[in-house]
Amino acid sequence: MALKTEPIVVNMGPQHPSTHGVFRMRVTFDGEIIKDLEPVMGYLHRGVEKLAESRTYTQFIPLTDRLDYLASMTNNLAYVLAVEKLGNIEVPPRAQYLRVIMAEMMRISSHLMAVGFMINDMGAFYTPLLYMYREREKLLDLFEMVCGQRLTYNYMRIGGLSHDVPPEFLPALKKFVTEMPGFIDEYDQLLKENEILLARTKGVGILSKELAINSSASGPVLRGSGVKWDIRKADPYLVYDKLNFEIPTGTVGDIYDRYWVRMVEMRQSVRILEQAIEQLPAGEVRTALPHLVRPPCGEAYGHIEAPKGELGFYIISDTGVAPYRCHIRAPSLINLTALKDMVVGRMLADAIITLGSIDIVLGEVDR
Amino acid sequence: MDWLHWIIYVVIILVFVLTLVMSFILIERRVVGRFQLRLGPNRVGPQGILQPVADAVKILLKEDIIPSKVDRVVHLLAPIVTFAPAVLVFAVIPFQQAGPGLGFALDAPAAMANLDVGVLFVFAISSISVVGLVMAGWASNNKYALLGAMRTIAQMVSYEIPMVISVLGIVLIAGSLSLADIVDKQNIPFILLQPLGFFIYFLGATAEMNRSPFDLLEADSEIVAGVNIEYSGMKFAMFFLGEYAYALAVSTITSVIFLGGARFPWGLLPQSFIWLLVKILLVFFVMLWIRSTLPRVRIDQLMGFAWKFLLPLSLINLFLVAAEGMLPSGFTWPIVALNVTLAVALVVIWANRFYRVGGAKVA
Amino acid sequence: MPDSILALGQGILKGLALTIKHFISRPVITVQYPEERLVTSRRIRGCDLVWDSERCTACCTCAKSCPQGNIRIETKVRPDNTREAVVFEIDHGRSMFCGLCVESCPFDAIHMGRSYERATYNRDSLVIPKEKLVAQGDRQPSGYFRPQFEETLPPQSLLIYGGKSSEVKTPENPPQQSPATAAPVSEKKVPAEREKVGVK
Repeated sequence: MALKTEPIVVNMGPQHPSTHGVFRMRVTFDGEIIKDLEPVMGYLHRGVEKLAESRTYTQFIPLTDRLDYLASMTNNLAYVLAVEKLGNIEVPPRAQYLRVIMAEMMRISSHLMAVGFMINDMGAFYTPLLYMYREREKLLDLFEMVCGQRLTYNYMRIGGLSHDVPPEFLPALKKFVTEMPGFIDEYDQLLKENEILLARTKGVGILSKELAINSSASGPVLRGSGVKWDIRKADPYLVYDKLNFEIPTGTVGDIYDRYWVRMVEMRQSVRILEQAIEQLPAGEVRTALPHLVRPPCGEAYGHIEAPKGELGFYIISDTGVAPYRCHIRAPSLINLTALKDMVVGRMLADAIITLGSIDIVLGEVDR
Repeated sequence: MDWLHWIIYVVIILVFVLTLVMSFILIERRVVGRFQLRLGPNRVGPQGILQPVADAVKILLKEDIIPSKVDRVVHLLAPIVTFAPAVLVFAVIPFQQAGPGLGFALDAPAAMANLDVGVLFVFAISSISVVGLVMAGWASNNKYALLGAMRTIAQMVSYEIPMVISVLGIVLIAGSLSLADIVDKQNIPFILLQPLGFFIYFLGATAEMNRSPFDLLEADSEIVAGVNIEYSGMKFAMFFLGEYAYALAVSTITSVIFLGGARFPWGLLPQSFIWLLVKILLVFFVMLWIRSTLPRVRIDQLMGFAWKFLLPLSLINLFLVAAEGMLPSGFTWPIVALNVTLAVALVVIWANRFYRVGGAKVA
Repeated sequence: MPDSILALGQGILKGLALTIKHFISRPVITVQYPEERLVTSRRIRGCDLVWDSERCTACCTCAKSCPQGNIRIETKVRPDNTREAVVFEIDHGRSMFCGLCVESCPFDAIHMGRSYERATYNRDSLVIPKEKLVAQGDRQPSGYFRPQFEETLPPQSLLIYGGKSSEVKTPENPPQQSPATAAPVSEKKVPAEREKVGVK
């Protein structure tokens, strides 16, 4: 006689210590195994795309900071690239190299935080997270030196950067770049061969290659599943075609592969930083533009490889001071749609660390 | 006069346990903070000494919420039944041995009750706290509390078996179940003679105490917050203190059985309870070190680890001890070397087999 | 992908070795606020704004460039045909301190402040009128977009060089100072396009 069981629906509510923000999941369990997962989003919706229609192009830049608030420079960069594409505006070479430097520093900082919080969800009592935060503090100090703030930078402008870096920025950055590979080796010593970590992440949360491509995943989620696609190589922007770096890929698409891809990407970012510092030319950092930029009529899509995936801004202009329509292609939202297929058939603890390995930021998901 | 002996020892044990439990709370937070390159609490009182007092005052001031349909008597008794055995264990611990000591000499081991079956007493009493958890899970009238309680009980019961079997090896070497005799026979600490036994005992005890890396049932990233989901106020504090008191009890038992109790190794200095205190703090430090470093395991990996890894190793350990007991005595250092190599070899081989053959996967 | 992971227990031991190394030999990096403070950046965009009433000509460029409209100005024409601001209020509660007003002022009359401890108990007291906005006491201008102030401020304390007791190393060969980032001169002529600024 078989026992008749009923699936129960459990709500991991918007306030939960490990959902990385106000994110809600309705999970249907059959005993221990997850049968269905329904994400409910929208708790942080602020109407940013509508606000863009009543702000001038320069006034919207501080608002883009608040989308992915853990990697603000890359949001600024994507938006500014879209507007420059629309208006055919040239950017001086020193500004392009400095933009690359800022973007790669931002990538290291964002990956440190992503990996740290994923390991924290697994239960290592904050220790790996705090070791990674020490390096992130050094990066945030450098950002504070350049533009005065540590989280929302508002540094990129249409036609370049807002002002030049101070003279003590480059020696400090060089010191960071020489020390960072040693610190990444320390993280590897702590985590890479840890048997408990291996037992919990290998074979868990698998996203197959076909499903990753079909669900438009991007960033480390896509590269962890074995697809070698990076916008810095596929559609180079700024000066990435003059720099040497490699793109890591995983094999199976489980959580360990995504963690591994992020660690290798940090090493490659350090390599890019070394080359960019060497090749940095002198010159001005901002082309002279009118106070109110009015791009010609048309539409443009500017996309970059943000730390979380492909971040794109689609702007339609009608020669006004403000865009007619601005749509933001948020990588976290698109990556999140594959969550259900990754966790059906596993247990709840696996679901939580799978969510941590996709690396979402609710500011981007809900806009 | 017998009753004077009991009263003095009751006072000593209560003072010892309560002071050390309060200071363990502070030591844990500051030492784990130092591992993470930060300071722990250091504002309340000089160097944060009064922090446990502040925590106690805060918990006492909280409202004691009792849900409506609980079984009142069981709900009230559960924290007591969980906390009391952790203090009762100290009745058989010898704080200092008979003979000349640092400062003063004794003519009998300084234990409240120097039972002949001390080891049996310790393990029997510490199993009573499992009953307390059953009571807490049942009485809360909450299906998540019951679920958490069932899992906790399964964890604690399955890790007791390898723990007890590994201590049996020590009993075979010492030839007696009395804790004072075990300390007396330790001319070299038993951790050197029985490294595999220590390893199994320590892991089993860590899982018994619900400490990292086996603390999945009180983690905040799980959906059930564990057995104490319906408790607040002083009753919750009893569960919390019970956990630290159990940690203290395990540290003390480890120092007595494996590290030599109140004796100084190789008899260089006279024995004293100060050495026991130092060893307790050392064992606690190792527990904190493990807590700061390792992530936690999943529930099915936890059970697999107990039944497929620790239990066979403890049985093999027992057979090895019995085989070595048949050798003539006097071979101490060669036996130490043999045991250490065997321990390392067994752990490595068994771990490899366990990991590859399927111990760490969902069914 | 890392090549062949043998789970023999050595990963856990390596992790334990790293943690004990941190315990023994790495110093604590906590800064015990409020007794110890870090020196903030010279270009800090702190939580307040500083107004210079002598240089302000009430052209309202800052008010027009604010993304949220936090600045409220009422102007009056003086007898000698210059303007002055009768009411100049900034709502510090709504401002996100992005610095766009500071960048757009043609006369260097508004600056970012340096303080980050501006919490109050009352939301209405965050609307600061012009008498309290001038530089006084602990409301001092920072070097954000104002190189004339940036040179006078002390260098920032960086964790790369050790944290609270660090000095910033000055480079031997500083890079060329580019002409576009030279200090905006006070008697700068307003470019012709700015006259045609439309209302938002």
